[in-house]
Amino acid sequence: VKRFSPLIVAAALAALALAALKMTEDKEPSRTWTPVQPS
Amino acid sequence: VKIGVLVTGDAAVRAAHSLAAHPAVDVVVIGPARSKSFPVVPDADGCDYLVGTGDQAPEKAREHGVPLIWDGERLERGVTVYGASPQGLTLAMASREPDPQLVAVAHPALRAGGNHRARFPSPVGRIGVADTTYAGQRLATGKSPNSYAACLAVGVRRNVTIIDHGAFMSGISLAAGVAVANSDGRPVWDDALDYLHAATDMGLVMAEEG
Repeated sequence: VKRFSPLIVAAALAALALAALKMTEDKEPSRTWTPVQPS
Repeated sequence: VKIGVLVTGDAAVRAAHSLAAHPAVDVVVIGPARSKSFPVVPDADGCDYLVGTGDQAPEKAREHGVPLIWDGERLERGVTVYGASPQGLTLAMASREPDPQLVAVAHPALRAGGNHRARFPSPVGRIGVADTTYAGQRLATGKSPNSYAACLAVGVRRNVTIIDHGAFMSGISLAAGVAVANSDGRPVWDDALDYLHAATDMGLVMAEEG
């Protein structure tokens, strides 16, 4: 069985986490803004 | 009201056009300058106020002997209104909210911030902001990733925003300072409601989330 360096595994996991975070941000529902007068 | 415009940059020129749309305001440009839209005059005789931007504007106003509406963040001699900027607009907007938890502004001319991220309306979106102070007021600031700018006040009860083209917002932020001017030197958020009404009358749109 081929074994990977812990550093490579850690880097890969970090990259996956960042990608997941980015996907979460991208999937945030667009908000609705309604014009109002200053009050 | 007669307003003299010190040609100190793009925001001042844009402010001149926003002021000229007001029926009760006469606009002149203080020379030396060239203008296709406004009379260019050699001095500020007869002007009630001057508008200008940048560090040199207060000194120029003192030379003319006419009070200045300014985008700077502090009171200086010769300045009658300060904070007439997107930062001041943000503080004015937030001052009308009962419970602002986050007061933030994004503008293409501001520096990128790294303290935390704030979620502005599209097309600015989520960006890094720095926790700073403006005229002693807490204000998170960040660099817009595009030409748009946004003011944001996040409260428990509601979120409010003003978003527009950055240069357009800068011009109107300066021009709307006229609504706050009187004999005292003060920031725009001291008379926030009149200032915000002037800014929205000149074309900015305030919006509430929901």
